[in-house]
Parts: sequence; structure tokens; C-alpha cells
Amino acid sequence: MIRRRSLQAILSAAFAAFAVFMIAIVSLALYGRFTETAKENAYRNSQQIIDQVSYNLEIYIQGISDVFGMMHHAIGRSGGAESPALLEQLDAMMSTRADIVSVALFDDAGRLQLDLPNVDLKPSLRITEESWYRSALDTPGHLKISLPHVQNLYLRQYRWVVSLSKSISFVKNGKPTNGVLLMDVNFNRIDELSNRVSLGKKGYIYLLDESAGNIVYHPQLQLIYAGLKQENVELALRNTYGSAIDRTGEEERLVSVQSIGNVGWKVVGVSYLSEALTTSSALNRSMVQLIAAVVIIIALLSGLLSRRISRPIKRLEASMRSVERGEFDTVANEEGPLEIKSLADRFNLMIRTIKGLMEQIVAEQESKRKHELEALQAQINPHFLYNTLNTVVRMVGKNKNEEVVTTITSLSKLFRISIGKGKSLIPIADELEHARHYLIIQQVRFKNKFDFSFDVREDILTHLTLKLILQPLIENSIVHGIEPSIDKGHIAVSAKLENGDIVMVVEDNGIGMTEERLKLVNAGIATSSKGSGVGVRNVQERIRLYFGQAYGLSFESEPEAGTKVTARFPAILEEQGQRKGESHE
Amino acid sequence: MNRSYGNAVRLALAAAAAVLLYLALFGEAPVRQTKQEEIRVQMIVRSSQSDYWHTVSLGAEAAAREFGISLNQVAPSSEGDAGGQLRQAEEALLSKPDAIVLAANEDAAFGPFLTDAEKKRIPVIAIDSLLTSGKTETYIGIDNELAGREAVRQLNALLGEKGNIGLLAYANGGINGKLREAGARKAAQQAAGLKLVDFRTCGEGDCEQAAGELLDENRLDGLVALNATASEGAARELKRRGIAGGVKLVGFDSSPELLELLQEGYIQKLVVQNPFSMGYLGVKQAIEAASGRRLPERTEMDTAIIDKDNLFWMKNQKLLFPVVQ
Repeated sequence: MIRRRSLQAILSAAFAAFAVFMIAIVSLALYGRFTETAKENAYRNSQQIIDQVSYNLEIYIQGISDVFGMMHHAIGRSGGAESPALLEQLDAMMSTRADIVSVALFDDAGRLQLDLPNVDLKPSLRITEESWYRSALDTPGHLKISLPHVQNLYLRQYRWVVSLSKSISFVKNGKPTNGVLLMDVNFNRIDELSNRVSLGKKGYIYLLDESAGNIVYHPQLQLIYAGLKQENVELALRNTYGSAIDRTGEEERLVSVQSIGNVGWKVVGVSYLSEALTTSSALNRSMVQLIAAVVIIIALLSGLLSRRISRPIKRLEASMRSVERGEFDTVANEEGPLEIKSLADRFNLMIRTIKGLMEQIVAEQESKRKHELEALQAQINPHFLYNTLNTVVRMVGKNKNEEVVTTITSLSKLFRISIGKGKSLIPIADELEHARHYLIIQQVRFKNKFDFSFDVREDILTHLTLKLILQPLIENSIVHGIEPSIDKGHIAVSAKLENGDIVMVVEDNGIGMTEERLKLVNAGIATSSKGSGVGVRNVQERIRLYFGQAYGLSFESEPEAGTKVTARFPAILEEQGQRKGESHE
Repeated sequence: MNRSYGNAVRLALAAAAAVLLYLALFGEAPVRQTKQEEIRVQMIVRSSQSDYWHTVSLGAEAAAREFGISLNQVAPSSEGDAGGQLRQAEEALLSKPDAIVLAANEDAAFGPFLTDAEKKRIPVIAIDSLLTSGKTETYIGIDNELAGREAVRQLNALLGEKGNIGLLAYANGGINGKLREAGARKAAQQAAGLKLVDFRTCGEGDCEQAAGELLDENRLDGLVALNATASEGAARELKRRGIAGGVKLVGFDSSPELLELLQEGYIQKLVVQNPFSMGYLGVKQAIEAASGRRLPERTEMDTAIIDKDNLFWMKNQKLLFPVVQ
């Protein structure tokens, strides 16, 4: 069996699902775009920073070269390498730069000519065997910038420097001589220039020598030198410019490369993609929180909303349940949305109608019983009984025994039938028998002032009729038609089946009625001062109560010609009648 | 009752939604607190004076910087001061560091200290000197016995596999000194042409004298000095006597002075270690141990043989002259 879910649950779930779906779609779209943009930005930023560093380093090296050039020029122009003026000049130049460690001039035999600052050379040193010295002499006029190396010149000093060297012509002891000018520069400025920029928290910049792939500078240079750290230089060497993703390590890294023109070095920026995308991971987190918040809000709202919808329905249901229990005074609450209100209105209307109908039924039942009782009382009308018995006594006095027997027999049968078995419906045969006995008694009483006839079709005898219909009609005929008449009267009783209805007719040839009176009678508002007082109206109402407004009595009359009363009601066979009778009990 | 319960739940949900919304719109990303920031590593080395230990310290600092931990270093003023070092170590233990990197001057004396550290669940990383008197997490350093043998082998080659040699050891050489001496003796025995004629120990300040005595009392062709102090003393003595190359000297470790003497020809070969890496790895592994990771039982460091010719090879420049940044 399918478990039915409540409207509230369905609405809530639907709202929530829809909201989550929408948010997820929007978030995914945003996230995708954002990640893409973040990546592009990371590429661009990294490249820009590298370009900047490269530019700064280029300028720095240019500056150093310029200083070197100035010194070169000053030495070349001076009268003698040993002149104090030159020394002073060089010293001044050097003092402007904190990164120049030392300047030294050697002649073509490798002898030291000039040394700033003045530090002792290693006694074991053979300058002519040093590679920088030889290559400077071999390629005159070319400024050589070395890779970082430990300077092996000065006593007890082993410093990492970058050396600039170039052949030089100068005057020594008045004679022009060839030699080599050497300037050592420390890493401080390079370190500063590379460290000042940031590529995220973990990102860094290192310098690479293009020709051999040696690392010139690295923030963890010693770790690289000690072999404790490796750098993926192949990737950086392959590209002259641009960015690439390095996937060799644990983390994806963005490697950006830019060459420094004047030394053949490359600036390599390493940044971590995960960092560049932290903003997007923050966005991610925000999005999850947002979705959670919205889901909760939607759940609350949809709960509220669906409660607003389903609560009136539930109230309506409760009202219906109390009606089920028989409390017809229940009034459904009409609060709530329009649809619910109109539903409640309809419901209330329906309950009111049902209530009215039920009251009507009760009233009908009551009036039925009242009329029956009245009809019964009419039969045992003491006046009638008195008259009859009085007639009987008179007849006994005249020794009309036969007539006495007839009268008493008829009287007794009359009462037997009218009491019946307490049923409302009786066979037509019994009703006709009852009418006959009544006529017999009245005939005796009125000393044959009238006679009567029955015209009854045999096939209707087994049908049922309401009891005590014919007797009031006959009484009516006698009292209003025959008795006032001077002539001997005649009462004809007939019963037949017509179009599925039973039609019973009582016709007299008495004084009849005027047209006005007939109208009043047909309208059911005529009253009579004579007779048992129950009479025709009782019959009319009982027929209509049982069988509906379509049935009942109709009157035809002409003054001095007589009156014809027709009773019409549906034909009911005995079995049906029993059921109908029972249902009316 | 039920209704108020439902209301409370709804209220709580609404509050949660409000908080989430606030976080989503205005919340700062929680700063990730790396565990390593809280890690405190205590480093106790053998001496605060020598170049060798200075370089070890540089390596340790590089690691501390890289991993963002707090590093505390102590050392006695001399390698010979085992008692002072032990006191420093015991003091350091009181501050309950997360890990200890220890280069011990003595083996047996540190037994109780190691037991104490183990009881306090503080991992101890032995660097430079192997400790056998208690539990250590790992050892990072050279095989000193092998290094001792290598020194004698180098001397053997310099002497043409023939000659009388002397051995000058550092008096308070501790574990390393003993192992190097044992290795040197073994190698001398194995070399058919070599004869170990004399053995001396010396300390700070008297190594020149000891070397002089060795040279005076024996006709030596070669000399092996088993640590930096001894090497310096022997080379100074040779320089003082002006015999460059007359008596071949194979020394240990490097310092500007030793390298200078090497370049000047008073020392033929130096057996050098990699103190920077040792310091770096010591701290790195200490962090790993403090984080509960398993360490290799031993990290063997290589030695390099430096002579006048290969001193300025790029590889050796990188090894011998740490870049200070």
C-alpha cells in the first residue's frame, strides 16, 4: 500500500528541492566561472610579478655594469693605477653601493695593482690560473658576469659573490699595460629584489642560469646546494617566456618564466595553484553555508506556508468529522485562503440544507402520525357511534331484527378494518370493504335515503392504499350532497388502475357546489361546519405526505348535479407496500 | 508542550540559518592553524664555538624557518664539556619540548637523560654522535668508523702505500672520536705498507704541542688528525715548522682556517661532513617524530674528501661554504 504523504510534507519537500536545485545550479555556474577567472588571474599576476622582477634585476645589473664601466673608465683614463686620486675616486664610487664587496685590478702578469677594500690576498693564490682572469684576457672588451661562486682571492674569506670581470688597458708606472678589472658583488640586492615580491604565502622566485641550468639564486639556496631540495629547472629552461603548470611535485605549481636580457639569466616564479584558488575555496565554503542557510530558511518557510494551507483543510476535516458524529450544528471555520473559504462556505451550506431536510422529515413524520391519529379518531367519533347505536335502538324497538343484525355486523367490521393491524397501508379490498360497511350503516341510518354502487376492477384488489380514504369522502358526500337534497340520492364508488396510478372515485348526485365553493375546496381552504370534522382535508394531506404533491384529491361539481371526488395515488403491490409501510413506521 | 517544543526547534533552526548566512556573507575564512606552529624543538649540540656547529645551527634554523616551528638551541662552549652539556640537556627537558635534537659529547653519561626523556615521551633525535646508552628515535650522521678508515686510506694513497704514520685524536672526542680512532687503527693495520707508530690525544690549545711531540719523537711520513681542533693544531705546527707536504696531513672537517691551510699545502686532504644538512634533517625529523610519524632507523650522511684541487669545484663550494641568507 502506498503511504500517503501529507500535503504539508509534499509542499515542504518540493519547495526545498526546488530551492536547493536552483542554488546548486547557480553556484556551480558561478564556481566554474570564478575558478576559471581565478586561474587566469593567477597566471597573469604571476607573470606580471615575474616581469617586474626581471625588469628590476635587469636594471640592477645594468646599474652594476654601469658602475663597473665607470670604474673601468676612471682607471683607463687615470695617469697611474697607484695614484691616490684614483683610489679616492674609486672608493667614492664603491661607497655609493652597499652590494659591491670588492674591486681588484690585476696586470697581465696576474699581479695585484689595486685592491679595494685593502685586504690581503691568499698567499697560495695564482691569479693567472683563475678562469675569470684568463677568459677576460682572451675576450678583450667583453664584460663577463659570472655565476655565483665562492671568491678565492682574499685571505680567510670564502664569500659567495657574483663577479664582473673585463680586460682593461691602464697606465702602470707611466707605461700602458693590459690587465683585468674584477668586481665582486654580493647577493643582497638580488635577494632583496626577489624577496620583496610575493607570490602568495608559499610562492617564491628563483634565478636560473640559462646556459647550464644552474640555480643562481634561490630563497633556500643552501638547501638546494646541499641537495635537500630540488627545483624543476627543466620546465623553466624549456620556456623562454610564459607560465606553465608543474605537476611533478606533490602540489600543482604554477611556474612563470621571464629572461633577463643582459646576463642570460631567467627569473622563475613558483606559485602554488591551491593558494591562488583559496579564494575560490573560500567561495566554496561560503556557498555551502549559503545553501545550508537557504535550505533551513526554505524548510521553515515552506513549513509555515504549507501549514497555512493545510491547517484550514485540517480544520475543515475536523468539522466534517464532527458532522459524521451527528453534530449538525457544527459550523466550519471560514478563515484561510479564498479556496478554503469557498470550500467551507459550500460545506456550511450543505450542512444547513441537510439539517433543514432532516427537520422537514421529522416534521412530516410527526404530521403523518397526527393525521392518522385524527383519521382514527374520526372513526371512533362518539357522535357517529351514538347516532348509529341510536338507530339500532330504534330499529330494535320496531323489531327490525334483520336490519339490526346487518347494522351491528357492519359496525363491528367497520371498526375491525379501521383498527386494522396498525398499518398505514392496507389492501384496496379491505378499504372497499370498510367503505361498504360504512355505507350500509349510513343507509340504515338515513332510512334508505340513498343507495350506492361499487364499480371495482378485480385486478386492483391486491394493490395497497392508505386506509380511511374512502370513508371521509363518502361521509362528505352524504353530509354535503345527499342529506340536504330532497331527492333520493346515489353514491357510486369506483376504483381502477390508470397509467400506473390507482384512481378511486366517490361520486354523488347531491346538491353539488357552486363554482366559488369548488375553487375554495380545490385550493384546500374550504372549511365545513358539519361532519366528523376530520374529513376531506385530512385525506388530501395524508395522500400528499405519503406519495408527494403530484397526488391527492380533485373535485368536480355542479350545483344540483352532484359532486365527484377523485383520489389518485401510485399503484403499490402488497410486497412493495409492506416495505414502504415498514420504512414509514 | 509539543507545540512549544516545535517552536523551540524552529527558533533554533532560524538562528542557525542566520549564523550561516552571516558566515557566508561576511565570514572570514578560518585561518588554518598548522600543528607545526605549536611544535617546539630543543636542539642541544656539542659546542657553541666551532664553524662546524655553526653550520649545523644554520641548517637547523633553515628547517625551523621552512616548517614554521620554534627552535631553541643550546650548547656548551667546548666539545669536551660533557657535564655542562648534560646539565643543559636536563634543564631543557624541564621545559617539555616536543622533540629534542641531541649531538651528545658523551654516550654513557646521557643514559639517565634518555630514560627520562623516554618516560616523558619526548622523542630524541641523535645527530653527529651515535648514542647507545638509551633509546633514541633515529641517528643522523656519518659512519665515524668508516670515516676514520677513509682518512687513513687517503693518507696511504698519498704516501704511496708506505710509511710511518701518527694519529692525533681529540681528547674529548666522545663517541665519534673513539669510532674514528678504531676505524683509523683498523685501516692502518690493513694497509701493509703503513705503520702506526704513535698516537696522541690533545684538547683545545695544546694540539700544536701534541703534534710537535709526535713529529719530534717519531720520523713520521704522514699524520691523521681526527677532528677539526686536532687538524688545525697539526697543520699550524706543520706551518710553523715550514714543512708543507713533507709530512702529509689528512684532517677532519672544515673551517676557513683549515681550508686556508689546505690551500697553502699544509693539509693534503680533509674528510668533511655535511653539517648544514645534518642540522636541517635533525630538525625536520624531530618535527616528524613530534607529529607521531615513523622515522628511518638511521640516516647515513656521506663524507667528502676535499683537497686543494677539488676545493673550488662547484659541488664542493656548495658543500663547504654555506650561503648565509
